[in-house]
Amino acid sequence: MRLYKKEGDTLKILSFPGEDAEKGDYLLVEDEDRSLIVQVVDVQFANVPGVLEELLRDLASQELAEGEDVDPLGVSSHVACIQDARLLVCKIRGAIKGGELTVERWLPSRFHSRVKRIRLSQLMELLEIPGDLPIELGEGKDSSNISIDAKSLDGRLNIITGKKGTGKSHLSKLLALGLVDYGATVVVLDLNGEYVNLGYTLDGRKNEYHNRIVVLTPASNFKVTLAQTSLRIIMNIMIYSLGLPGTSAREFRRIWRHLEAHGALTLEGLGEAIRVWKCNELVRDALYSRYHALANVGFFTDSEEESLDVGDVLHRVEGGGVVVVNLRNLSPLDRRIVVEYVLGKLVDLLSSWKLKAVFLFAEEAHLYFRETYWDDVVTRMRHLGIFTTFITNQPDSLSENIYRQADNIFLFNFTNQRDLDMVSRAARVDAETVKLIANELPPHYCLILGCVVRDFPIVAKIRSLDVQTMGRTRLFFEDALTPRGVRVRAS
Amino acid sequence: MSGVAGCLQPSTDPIETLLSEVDGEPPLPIREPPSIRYIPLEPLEEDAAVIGVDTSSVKVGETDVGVICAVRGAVVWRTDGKYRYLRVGPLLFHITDEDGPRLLRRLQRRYLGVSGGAGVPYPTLLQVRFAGMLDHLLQMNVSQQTSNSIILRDGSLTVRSGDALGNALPQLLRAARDRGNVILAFTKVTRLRLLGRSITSLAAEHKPPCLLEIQGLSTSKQIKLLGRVYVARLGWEPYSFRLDVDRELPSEACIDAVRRLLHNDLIFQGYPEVLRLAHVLSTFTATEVLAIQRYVSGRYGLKVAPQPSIRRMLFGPYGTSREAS
Repeated sequence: MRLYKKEGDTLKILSFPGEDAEKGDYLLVEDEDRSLIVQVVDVQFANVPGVLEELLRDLASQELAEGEDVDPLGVSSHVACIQDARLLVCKIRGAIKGGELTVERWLPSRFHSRVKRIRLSQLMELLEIPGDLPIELGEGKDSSNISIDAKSLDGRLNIITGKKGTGKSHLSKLLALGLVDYGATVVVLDLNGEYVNLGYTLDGRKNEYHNRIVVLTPASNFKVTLAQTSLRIIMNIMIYSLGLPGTSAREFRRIWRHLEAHGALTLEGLGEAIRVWKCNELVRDALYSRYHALANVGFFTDSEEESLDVGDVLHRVEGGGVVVVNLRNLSPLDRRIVVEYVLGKLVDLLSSWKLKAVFLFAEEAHLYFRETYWDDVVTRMRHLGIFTTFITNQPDSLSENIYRQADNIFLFNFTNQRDLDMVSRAARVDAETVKLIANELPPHYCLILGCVVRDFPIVAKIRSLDVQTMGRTRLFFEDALTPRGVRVRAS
Repeated sequence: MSGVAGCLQPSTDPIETLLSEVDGEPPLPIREPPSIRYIPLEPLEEDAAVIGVDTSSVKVGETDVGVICAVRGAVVWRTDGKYRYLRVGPLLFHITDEDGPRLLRRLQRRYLGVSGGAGVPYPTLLQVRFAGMLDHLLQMNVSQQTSNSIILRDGSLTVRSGDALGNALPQLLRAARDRGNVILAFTKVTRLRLLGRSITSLAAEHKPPCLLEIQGLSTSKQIKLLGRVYVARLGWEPYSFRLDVDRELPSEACIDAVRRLLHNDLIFQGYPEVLRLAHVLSTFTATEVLAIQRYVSGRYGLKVAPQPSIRRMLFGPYGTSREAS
């Protein structure tokens, strides 16, 4: 390999087909006692002078004549090499000077510099990744082990995105369990019930995490009393989830305080209070309709025995555990109410220091997050100790602000240019890298960007996990009859 | 210079010019008044294989003691309306100033069975002779292994005395004749002139396809003419070429060979397609030269290094375009 050109932070390197370098690979451009660390973001054909004419000539003569070559020296293989010579478009990621990582940049010599591949394991060692608390993610294309430091997820905003079926949920489970290994509290807003069997192995046995996984299914094993609900939380539910207008909200607040003062905060008490409260009939109607909506969710109960305290649940998983809030089978409105409650409760617990911090994994959050939460997540909630990981296959469902503030992005394959445009707004990487590498990632390969890799984008194949993921789509033909009547089962 | 017609062309690489001088036809005076016979042609509908042979050479690099060159030859034939080819090479030669001529003589003795001089002013230009030797070998093989074919070669049938390749040419013609083959030698650019004009311009006024037989060419002790010399205008395009056909064949046989060529091969821009393909297939491209350099550096551990130009260093942008580029 030989250095050919430098334009800004882009280096162009010539290589022959045998010197396999693929997108995502790292190269070292050694120049005397210092080296540039560059990453291949695109592989193109080198613009060999006259190659177009030669290809046209070959094409024409192949059409006209066929024959054989007596090539005793085997030079034709070298011709093929020259014709297929590649131009590696690389981005400068860093430099090494005196054995230390540096941000210095310089123009290396074209004739004297040496270009060689650097294994991901060597790079990771140089970057001192994974550090003290490794979470093994998988392996690089060169089979190097890829692990990240759990600390680099601490206090961070993360995004896992990619098109359907590329392995996003799988990675999020891997990260969640990796955090649990180091005693972290993880709350998962599980839209499709994919996380409910995290405590079981693929063959259905209980796994090492079994006792540290708590699955909360609203209206089933997850019900709360109104007394457990603070005024702030219920007001948020009424206003943001149920769309209660301002005037009615003021009346509702008065009713709530009245019931609280009289120790009568029950669903039944609330309904009765609305019925007899002296207020405008239109306000009463508005309050009644919201009350019935609340009551119909089945999430609120007057039974102390049935009710569950989120604080107690989180206390149970202290020392490492996952609380899965199963949002499956809930209507969009019910989902919003439950999420509003859970987030409100987490904020309460964190504000009162009953909880140190929590890692929140939110799948397709646009389906249950209210508008104002997006800014909250990157500012207020983050400072309180809610460290969110968004998982989505619709990059445009997250606001641009989230991308710009994201500390880590785990990017799976996208082929749609619009999706890539959205992700490329992330501040921690150049748009070219995102667009050129992500669109050719095979399934289960992930481009890792951000703090976890110290801003050295790394492509990793995410390892398999011996847990029941339930992330697979139900198929009609999975267990179907073949035309000849033989029952087949998809593997 | 008033009254002069023609075109101006920028001077090419002097080495290329030298090579074309070496490779070109020997000078041949035309006796005056000359005799020119116009022969209109009709395709002769007689099936025959048409076989074209061509070779090329290229300088791959220079070493401390000489040059490394590559030669390649191509044989193209047309049978049943299809073209097929056999390409031989590239073959590499390290031609040193000291040993180059000796190596060539040895190879000529061994493979052509003749001896003679190299016929080039500089040993570094010997690559043309190595290519010529391969050309001869391929033609000899074709002549011996086919029959009743038309064999096309690039170049004339005029030889200098003492030139090994020239000495081997009668054997080649004889071998072809013995098996009923006819060798047609096409010269793209001829130096033969009549009244100051290139002989090929004479065909412009005649209806194609036609031949103009040039009679009255002088030979000498140094220059031997082994073929009948014609100007061939085979297509409607304004291109005509010098064509030499074995002198030992009767005139009618020579003309019939050209007529059979018209029937059995495509003529594009007045030039036989098999010979054009042979030329295309044997010529080295820039990529192939790079590939050969890569092979040489890998096989013999030679480094490809840019050669500093002393003229460019001295004159910089004030030299000729070649020096300044």
